[in-house]
Amino acid sequence: MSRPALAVSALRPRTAPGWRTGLLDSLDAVGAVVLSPVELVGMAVVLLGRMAEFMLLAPFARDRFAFQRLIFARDLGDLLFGPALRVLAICVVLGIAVALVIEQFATGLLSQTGTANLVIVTSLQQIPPFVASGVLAARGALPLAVRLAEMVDRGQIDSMAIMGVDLVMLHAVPRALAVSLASVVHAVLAMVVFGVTTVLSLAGLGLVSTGTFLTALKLLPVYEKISLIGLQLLTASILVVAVALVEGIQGHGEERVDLARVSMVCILKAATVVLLVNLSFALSRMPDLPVLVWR
Amino acid sequence: MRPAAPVDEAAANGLSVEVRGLVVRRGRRRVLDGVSLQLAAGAFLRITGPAGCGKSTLLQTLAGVLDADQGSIRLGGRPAATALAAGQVAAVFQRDSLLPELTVLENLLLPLIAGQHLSRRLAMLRAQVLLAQFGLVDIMHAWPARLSDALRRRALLARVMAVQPQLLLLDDILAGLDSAGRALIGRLLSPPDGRVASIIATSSRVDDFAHEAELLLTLPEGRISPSEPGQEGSGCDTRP
Repeated sequence: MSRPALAVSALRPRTAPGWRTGLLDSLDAVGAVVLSPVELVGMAVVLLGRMAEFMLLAPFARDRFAFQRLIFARDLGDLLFGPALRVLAICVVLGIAVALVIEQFATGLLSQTGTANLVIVTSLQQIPPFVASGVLAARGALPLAVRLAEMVDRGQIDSMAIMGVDLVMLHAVPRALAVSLASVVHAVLAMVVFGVTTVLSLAGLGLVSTGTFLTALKLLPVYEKISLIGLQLLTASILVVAVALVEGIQGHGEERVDLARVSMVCILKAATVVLLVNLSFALSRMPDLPVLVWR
Repeated sequence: MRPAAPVDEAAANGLSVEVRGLVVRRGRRRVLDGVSLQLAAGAFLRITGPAGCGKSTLLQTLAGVLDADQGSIRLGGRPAATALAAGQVAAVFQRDSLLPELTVLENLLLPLIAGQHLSRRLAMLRAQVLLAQFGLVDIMHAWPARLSDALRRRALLARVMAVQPQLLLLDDILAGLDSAGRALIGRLLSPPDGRVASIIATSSRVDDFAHEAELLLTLPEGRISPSEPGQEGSGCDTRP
């Protein structure tokens, strides 16, 4: 019977303070900062591999993946319905805000050509994935990090590892899949709500008609970019869950885990990851915009 | 520490434990300092001592969770890693608990299906036997959060017994239980028809497992003093 390697609680030596210890601690801290992106990417690769294993084998090995399927179903339900109201609220507020900005600054310039609609349609590419992955980073990563930290604190990960159960991946793989799927659903929901809210607000302000908006929607290759948006959401989801994993399993032997610290660092890192991923993908889609405005 | 009280090896289940010169450091502090002990297969050793004396560290090292800085551990006459890899050891650590997102039954099935890769049918059969044995049938579909501390502790014990370990390591499993709960868990660990595993249990109370365990190791405050197999004293007090 093959068994995963035993989880080993990291022990950080506590020594009396001194200049050498201080220097080593500083070097340690600098090294940790420098290596943290590498650690994150490494964890994301492991996670991706385990997700692929789960997706490929789960339909055939039903017993082996029974618990992952159970946790996946619960996580997906939780992530689909839990943040839906938040996504709706954020998109309504953003839709009205974008409409007001366009009305204030771009009325004269853009209303004749219908480019206002293009701005809306372009933001449809950028904003909903951002909102969806951002909301799910908070909802998907934070509870996982806190749960893992709690399990480290209680010694559950170690005791289950002795019995051959990898509790970390048991929780992380279904959650990463659930976050990925839920982020796509929420991005679509956000696109609809954001688009409708913005256009209705602009129509209410007498700036554009819904007909010109639909024409502009056809002009911009939103649908051709769906796969890119999907890749963006998948990347953000996996990295965000990897952040939760890295932060959650920072155990120090018998020392009590500081859940507040884990939560704060996790949410800050997850937000940074979401921002960076969305910015890089947004920049990759930007070349379309000037061409369309020029036309 | 002297060898364990005689146990009929042929009849006994469980792994023998042999620890020699175990040293575990945490920073500059030696938590375990040259500990040696021997335990015959099927024996029940209880370890008592004040908080911080190294009870939990000893169990964590035996379980392979912590690495020893020096010394050797043999389980069943083989290096500890062999027994650990074969899944012959199970442990309940001090603050361990059932997974709150799974029911009691699911908690029992988890190590059988995800750890031992048993079929669901076989795992269910084994779980049902243990649920009946531990008096948990009525609450098998309950969430752990809705159970009393004593019931949770019984379910936790049932979970580790489900994997049929040859060596059971229990870290302060009786903490916080009333006398009836303590007595019940003691009886479950040493049933009248014979014990199924060697057991090492720690406790901060001297009277815990007093009736069930054949051996007592009392640790002095601060750390375990070195002792050699066959030597009495040296800071370790054993009483049959």
